[in-house]
Amino acid sequence: MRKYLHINLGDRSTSAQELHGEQIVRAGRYFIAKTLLERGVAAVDPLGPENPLIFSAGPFAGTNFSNANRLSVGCKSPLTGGIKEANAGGTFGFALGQSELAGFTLHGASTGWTLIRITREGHVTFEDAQPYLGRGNEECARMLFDKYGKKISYALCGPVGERLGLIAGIAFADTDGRPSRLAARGGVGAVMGAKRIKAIVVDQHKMPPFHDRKKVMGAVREYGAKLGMEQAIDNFKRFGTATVGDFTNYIGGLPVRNFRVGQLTADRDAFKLGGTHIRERNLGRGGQTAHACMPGCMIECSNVYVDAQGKELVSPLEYETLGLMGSNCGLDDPDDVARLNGVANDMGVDTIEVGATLGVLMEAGLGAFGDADYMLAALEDIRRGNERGRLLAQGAARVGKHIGVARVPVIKRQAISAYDPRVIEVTGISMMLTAQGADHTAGNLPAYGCKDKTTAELVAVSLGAQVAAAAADSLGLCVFGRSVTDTNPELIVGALNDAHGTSLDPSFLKTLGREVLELEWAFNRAAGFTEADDELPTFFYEEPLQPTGKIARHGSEAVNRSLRELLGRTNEPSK
Amino acid sequence: MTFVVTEACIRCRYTDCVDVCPVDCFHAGPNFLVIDPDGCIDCGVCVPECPAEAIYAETDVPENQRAFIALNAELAQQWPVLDTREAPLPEADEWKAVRNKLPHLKR
Repeated sequence: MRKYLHINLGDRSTSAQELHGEQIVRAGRYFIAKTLLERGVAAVDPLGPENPLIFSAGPFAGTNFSNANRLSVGCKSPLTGGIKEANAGGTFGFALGQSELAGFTLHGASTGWTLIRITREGHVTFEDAQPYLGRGNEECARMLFDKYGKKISYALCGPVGERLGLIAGIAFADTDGRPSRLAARGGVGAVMGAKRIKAIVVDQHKMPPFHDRKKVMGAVREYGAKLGMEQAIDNFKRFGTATVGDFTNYIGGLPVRNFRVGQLTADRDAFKLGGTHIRERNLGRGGQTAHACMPGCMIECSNVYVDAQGKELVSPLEYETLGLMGSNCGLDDPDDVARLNGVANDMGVDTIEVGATLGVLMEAGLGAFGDADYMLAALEDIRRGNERGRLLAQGAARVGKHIGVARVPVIKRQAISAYDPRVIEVTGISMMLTAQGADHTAGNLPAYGCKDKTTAELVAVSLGAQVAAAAADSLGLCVFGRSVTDTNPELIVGALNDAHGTSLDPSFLKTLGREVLELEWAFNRAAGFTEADDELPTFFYEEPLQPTGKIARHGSEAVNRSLRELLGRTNEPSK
Repeated sequence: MTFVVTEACIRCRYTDCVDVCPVDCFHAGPNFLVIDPDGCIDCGVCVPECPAEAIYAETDVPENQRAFIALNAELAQQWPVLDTREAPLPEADEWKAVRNKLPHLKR
């Protein structure tokens, strides 16, 4: 059994729901989509009190099942206007599981700024958050550990979220206590700020009870052993997610200078923003690779990146930031990106959205590509919340419209991740079709060979990836484990059955994933989205991307037609 | 980093920790367990399982227990892996709170 808490911020009442069996399993992105759709949230003001903010842990939360302690945050997105599930690593999901909590929903809004304390017994108290307001996340984290001890985890609304900035995420503690694991995308931090919840503190305790713990531990060991045999996992461990940059730069799909070109340098050895160079530089200075963001994770894709004096600049330094705040803004040195990333983390903002926004400013000639000082100054404005800062905090789409820039890399008003859709076509199609907006994690296959493949073929591949990602996101599983997760459904579903006494079939994973997509698409339809909203910005279809010379081949009409055929719907909307 | 079994385990050997280790890094002697520092993945899940509260993260090992860091590394090379929980020693509950048990360690 697990408890699920409903916390009513208006009158500060709490009710607890008991979840059993499959109710515990159908968590994360599934739970969010089903709940928000059924509650009619598609029609609400996303910054209003009627928008629930859901924190959902997966069915293995609280264990050391590798990469199975992800935390899903869900709401209607104030950035996109559609459904949002923002996913984070760290220890918050782990702590919820150890407290035998499946999660909780924040309903309504508080009248004053509040810190919510949830003990492992499930007791909820509300404390004055005034001492934390306006401070950076690192300082707040220190204050929380000083006050509540080390055996906690926390969720933080940073200073930008306090002011309802749409680039604001929610920061969670990593395994070292840093506020560095963000549910970053879609303005979930603004929703937390609109509810005037500054922080949520939960207890770590011990592994929770399961239906058959011995068998669950058997699955933990087996899954871990399988991960150890995967070369892809070993690459993540050694080089971090930055290893993706070596690849995307090589194939010409890296965003450079507001998606103007797809390659920073043709000389692979000269490319400094990739995993190979970063590992060597970081280790040479005494930094750390093979760092787990959540307890028990054997992928360990995180790192602790240090400067030339060995002082920590940021943890982690990851591909998406190296792309959007790095090459996309004309930077070519990881030290510059790391410095900016550290500042962004302390502010609690989405580095993809920030990078795209700054790229748009540079596109407009308001700053020079490659000017890290300009970027730092812009971040400082955002942190201070002056007039310019409050504008920039609205994200790339709104800033681009305000200053009259045509080349704004967004889908559904959310910034495109570091995969140029002209070259990395399956990911591009996933970002078009997903109800989440331009979210690469919805179905990311950067290495898939797209040459001479038709729209229909690529949409089919994207759909398979989307279903798998949706299932993982509903089970608290990090998608980086997919080379094992996706190929061992019997192991995963067997472990779920052992954990919660269910009798699910291995086909459950695909069924679950498909259900999630349908629910999310239904939500967005209810929110007023049409197939026209799936379109890429026009410049992708018109501007050949050097060095490949490719343009986007797949428009929304063709992509959705293919999707309709795959879903067996010929006369209805595909989504 | 690693996690370390300290003196509270001596003459108790509860082995609750073994049940939750994802990488089977516990090695067992006659009346004590140790963690192989090369195998430990720092998940920390074993810590609250121990009825004697014998396990610490390496960085949190109390000053008077720090000799156990090297002792875990040494004995992990000599003792076999224990991957299945066993009954604690008969005297476990009696010895749980006893201090300065190092002279009682059986190699």
